[in-house]
Amino acid sequence: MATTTADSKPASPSGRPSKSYANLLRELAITDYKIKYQGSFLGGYIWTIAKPLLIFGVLYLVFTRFVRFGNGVPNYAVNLLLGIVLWTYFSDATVRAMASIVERGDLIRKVYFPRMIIVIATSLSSLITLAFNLIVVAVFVIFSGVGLQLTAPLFVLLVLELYALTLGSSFLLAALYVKFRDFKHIWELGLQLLFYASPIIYPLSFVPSRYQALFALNPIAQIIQDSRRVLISPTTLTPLDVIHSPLVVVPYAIPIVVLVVGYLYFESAASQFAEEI
Amino acid sequence: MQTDVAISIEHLTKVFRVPLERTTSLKQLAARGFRPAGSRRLEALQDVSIEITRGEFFSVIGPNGSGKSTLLKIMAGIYRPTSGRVSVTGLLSPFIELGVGFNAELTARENVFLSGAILGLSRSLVAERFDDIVRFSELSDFMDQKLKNYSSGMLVRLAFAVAIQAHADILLVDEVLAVGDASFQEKCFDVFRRFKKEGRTIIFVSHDMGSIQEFSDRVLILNHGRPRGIYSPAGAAVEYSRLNEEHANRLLSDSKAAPTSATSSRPRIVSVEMLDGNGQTTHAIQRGQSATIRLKIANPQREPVNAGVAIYRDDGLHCFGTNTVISHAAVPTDAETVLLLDYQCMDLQHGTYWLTVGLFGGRLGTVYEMLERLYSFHIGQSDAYEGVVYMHHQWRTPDQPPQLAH
Repeated sequence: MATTTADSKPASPSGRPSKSYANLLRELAITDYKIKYQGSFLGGYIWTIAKPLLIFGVLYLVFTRFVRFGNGVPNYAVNLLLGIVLWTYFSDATVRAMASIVERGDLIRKVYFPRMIIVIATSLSSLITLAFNLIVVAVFVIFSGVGLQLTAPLFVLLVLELYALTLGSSFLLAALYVKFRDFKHIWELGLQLLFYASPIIYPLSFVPSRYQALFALNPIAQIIQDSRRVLISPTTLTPLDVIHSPLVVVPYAIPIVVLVVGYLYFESAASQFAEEI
Repeated sequence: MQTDVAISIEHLTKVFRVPLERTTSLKQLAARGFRPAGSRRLEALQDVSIEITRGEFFSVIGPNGSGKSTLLKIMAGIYRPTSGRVSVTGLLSPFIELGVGFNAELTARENVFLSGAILGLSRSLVAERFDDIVRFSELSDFMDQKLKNYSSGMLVRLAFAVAIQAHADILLVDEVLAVGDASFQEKCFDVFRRFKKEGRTIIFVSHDMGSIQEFSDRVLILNHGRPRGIYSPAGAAVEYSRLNEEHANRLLSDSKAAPTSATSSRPRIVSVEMLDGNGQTTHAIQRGQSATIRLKIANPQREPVNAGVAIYRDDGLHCFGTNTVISHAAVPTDAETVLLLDYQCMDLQHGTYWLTVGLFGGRLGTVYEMLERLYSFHIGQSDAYEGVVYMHHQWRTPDQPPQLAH
């Protein structure tokens, strides 16, 4: 028997097996992925790969032909592509997840299911995109003469860390966006700043050495640098190289803190979504 | 714990706080110094207690805004009660409204799986029952079309076909049959009969007294969020028309209580009723029967007046309107006048309808009185014709003579 009172969380339609929510999660994620590229001429797979490649192409041209600062960096192209792919995942997934609760208002007002399924589904559908993009990165890594590193399997852990950071941010943003639509603009601005504050188009070694530790506290910077280290070059600077204090745990801890805080805030706000949207 | 109770609701109250202004920007919040905005309390439900027995077909009826849907949403766990307690025993289907979660950009086939997942069905189960779903919806030729190309009738068929697959002991059904033609409605009723036989509990919310009377074991009437009582289907029909009459009387007395002397001498409507062929007041007419509207008008100044009567379907569709000017009918200028409006055949299809009555000066220039949704009535039909009205018709081959009078 499920009982609902003013204080309890809404009773889930009692007895509904959690397996059915896993199924719902999968269907919503697939739908989300299909809808993203709905009606596109080239089809979803092409656009999935084309978007980061186009950004990469433009940035590569600018920084190796016009500004020419990429020329002195070993494996600049592969490093740039990897950075862009990881960044694109974080920025696309959070932007899309932020609006996901509001966009699914119809569903939320009419059916009960754990609301976080919607946010998780959006983040998973972006993960499909990331997987396709990583295949392109792998092809680049292999054919650019970098070769596969022995440390490559560690990259899986970094993807998990990136996913935790993305999901936590998504929970926070999706719940805040229900109350304040300003977050759309705030987050766009925040992403712009974060993009330039992270070593995506430039390597961390270009940052004056007394600021490197500060830059490395940013978990995006840490994930990108660690990924470059395990996939491309063992000489890439990582937080372990530039932060010489216990503070080195900060970038690794932030994703976990964001996930926990995001989840708790989302859950506390979720029971009101149906009335607030 | 009693095991034969499916849903037990004790002293349920739901209050919505409707913000006087909606704060969706930080600027607004900052401008108020981060204090919460003033809000108005909207008491959607007040002290509702019911106990629904397993296997029961329990209906909830009430005018628009009476809190029916809120009650259903609280049972489903979508809203939280403000106070009180709701206990559910058994697996509850979240089938509150049809077609929830349908995506217009996906094909019908894809939507069947999506919708199934929302109802808690596994992919393999939906795959297994896919043919049944298609057969029931009668849409086998359209399964690979995107839903955006579907008509609303087709959408309802598809949605209902999926929804009835729900593996639940308790089904919450809101206004399902509002759309869909008569033959499809009949099919839906067959499903309800089957569910009833299988001992499933159905909670049905509607304002269509006809379907409620046919299936319900008990009927809760809600009015302005307060339970008016739980009745037998027949008792509910009587009580519901009494409620509608009270509503009409209130409208009439409000208009009578016009405060100024300038308006007190104005022509006004004293009463409105619908009479059947035997001259008895009625709220239910079989399609094709005759009916008479009886209007009583007070006209102390004996001014020339024009009276109008319009029939609206419950969803707001204007079905027919007439007034004494366009019908070239003379209205006697007595201090008190009774006007009768005879309809030869009430050729409207099955459903709930409302009379809106107006009283105007001379040529519609002045509105003395306009009473909307004043009197409700129900039209029944025993055949499967579809649409809004009944068109007199005949099917024939060229060698058969036409039998309809021209």
